[in-house]
Amino acid sequence: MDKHKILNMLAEICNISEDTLTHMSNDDRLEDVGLDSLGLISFIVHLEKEFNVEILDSDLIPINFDTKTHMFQTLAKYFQSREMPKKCLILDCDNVLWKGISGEHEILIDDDVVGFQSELKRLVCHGVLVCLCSRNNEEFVMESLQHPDMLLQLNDFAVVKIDWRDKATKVLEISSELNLTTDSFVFVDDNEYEIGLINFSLPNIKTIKADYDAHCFVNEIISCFDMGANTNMDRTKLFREQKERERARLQYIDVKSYNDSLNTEIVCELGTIQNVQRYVELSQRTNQFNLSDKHYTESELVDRIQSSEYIVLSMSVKDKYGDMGVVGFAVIKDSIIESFMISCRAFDRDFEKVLLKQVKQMVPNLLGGYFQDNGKNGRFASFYLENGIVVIK
Amino acid sequence: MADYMQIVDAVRSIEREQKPSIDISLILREHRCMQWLKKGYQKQLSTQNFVLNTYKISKSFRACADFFQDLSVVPYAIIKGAVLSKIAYGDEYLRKSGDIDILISRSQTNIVKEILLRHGFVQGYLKDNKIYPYERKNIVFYDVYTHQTAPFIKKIQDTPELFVVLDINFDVFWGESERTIDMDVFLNNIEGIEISGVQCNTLKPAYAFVALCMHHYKDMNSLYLLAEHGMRMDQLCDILYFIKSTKIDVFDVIEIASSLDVLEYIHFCVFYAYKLCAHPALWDFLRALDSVIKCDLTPFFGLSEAERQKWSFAFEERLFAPDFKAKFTASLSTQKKNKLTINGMFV
Repeated sequence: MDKHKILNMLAEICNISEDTLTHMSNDDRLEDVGLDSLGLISFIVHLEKEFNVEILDSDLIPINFDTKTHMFQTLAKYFQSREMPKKCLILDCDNVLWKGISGEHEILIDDDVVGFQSELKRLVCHGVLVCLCSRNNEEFVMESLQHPDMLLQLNDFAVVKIDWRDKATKVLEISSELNLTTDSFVFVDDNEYEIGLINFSLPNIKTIKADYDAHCFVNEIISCFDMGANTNMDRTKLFREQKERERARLQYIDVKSYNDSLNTEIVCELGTIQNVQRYVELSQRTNQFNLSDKHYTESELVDRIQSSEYIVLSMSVKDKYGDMGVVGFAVIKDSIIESFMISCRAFDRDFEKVLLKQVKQMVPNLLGGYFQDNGKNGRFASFYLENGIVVIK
Repeated sequence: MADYMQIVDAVRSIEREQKPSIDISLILREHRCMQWLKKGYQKQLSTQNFVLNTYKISKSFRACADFFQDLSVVPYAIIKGAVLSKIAYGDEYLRKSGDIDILISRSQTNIVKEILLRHGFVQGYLKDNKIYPYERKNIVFYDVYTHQTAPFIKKIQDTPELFVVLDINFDVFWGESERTIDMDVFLNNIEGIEISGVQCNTLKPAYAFVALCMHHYKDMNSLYLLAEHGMRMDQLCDILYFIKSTKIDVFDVIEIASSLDVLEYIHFCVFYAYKLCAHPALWDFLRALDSVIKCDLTPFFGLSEAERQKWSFAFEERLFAPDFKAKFTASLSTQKKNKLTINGMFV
């Protein structure tokens, strides 16, 4: 956190020297050096814009900004290093999803377990893909999943892998089926051996040991996921619809025939404020097909949508399996594509070509598009070139 | 002033189901006192207005049915509006209400906002039947300096020009106050209610009454609201009918209000409701409150110690003088007028 820069901003707003602010006691009231209500609002808005953060509503209370101590304490969490956002939670079943071992004796779903499952349910509602990965007989585990006290149902889980194969192999299969890289996974197990295996084989994955005697593992799991992410999507449902598409695809000889069978409707339109949360989520979560590696905040996107200097073009798709919603968008300024991104759910259907075609129609004298290698978008590095767009690095 | 006392007498006559000496139907309409309008001027009531109000309220609640279901992951209670109308007047469509007010704990604002956004709501305002999102500075102002978030709004599907507005309240105290209240005291005392066939939550009666008084106290003492809207009788009518209809025990209310240290605000509301209506149901309430309050706020207005000042306008003048708003604004100090200007910039 650049405290010097923050104090400088605050000093400007209070119309005093930075020295005055720096030398005043950390617990003196900022009101006494001229920070009034208009000033505080201006400071917060300016700070958010400058540092690309958005302070949560629950933190926007006067006492959090009345002294330097309180202000820096409040702001600290917004300046922690940006880690890869976690998208998927992989859970063991026995002694994690319930107490006891399926097939050995009757499982127990007590208040601790119910509390944990309530939090898992909340994660599912927030778009986290929750998967099961268990080494046991499938029949025994399925029977336990039917337990009358279970809060979670089978269709709450995006992928279920229950067999006696090693968990590292199964986790890789989950990664492939979800089309997600393993650095977006959190793996939870009660068994040190399994945790060790994942740490050894797939070191990118965050592992957490489930221990009902310690309790804190639940909070540790929840804190891995961005619960501030705004989405109107049921990701598990979307994933299932995608699986249906892939299953159906196997029946066709060629991709074109398969795609033609889907009654796909694509709508490209100018970006709207109503959809800004979805654009932010797409921008924050997309890495593979994110050509300029731009990750916008809400205020940046709102500015761009409302500004006459920018064009924000979004693409929504639905087909016979369901409504995929907004699957991509592009931002153009001064005839240059500032950003171009497509959700991984929409790969391999040439949607990106449709969006690019729309961009070209809207900006006939297109000069080029920015490309920034982020280590994950290499597969699409030649997209602009292949489609006649000059690459700007 | 004699004219104003005639209006007060007319209100009391209507409440006693007697014919008033003067026609106050227009005044009751201006003050949105639908219950007294219904009691005194049933034949003059515009059916169309009632139908429109019913349509708006039922459409709004039905449009929010799924949202209320998702919202049940956090403790919440709907206050005022159609809920108050049902509890106090036995008719959820009687009171004219624009928004749906929801009470939550401040710590839950992030998740509630997320649920709202997922349901297509936008933090914005309506102008010429179009939604305009608030700028970030407006949203910050609401969060920091008021008792609610910036309102959430969305168009109701399959209606020509109907919008539902949700006000998310995270405190029963107002922004000017240095005090806040632990909302769990209220949110641990909720019960189910059905409005337009939609299940939702509200506060248990004694808690609802305390929250109602806190809200009406704010409206009757906010410099900004007094300058913009003046004082209205409907709030005092609400206090009377709530007590009459729910038959809440004054000692339950005193216990809750004492624990929250808000007795004076409850007393203020009951005092002025009695001053207008002189109803026996209020008298016992007032006497009980008189015996326990530590200070009497009734001669004053203003929402904080710094703002508090003695009224120079008689009660009846505050309610009925046509030029009250202008005279009130003119009577304020420059500093207080500046506050009105700042509020006007963001609200």
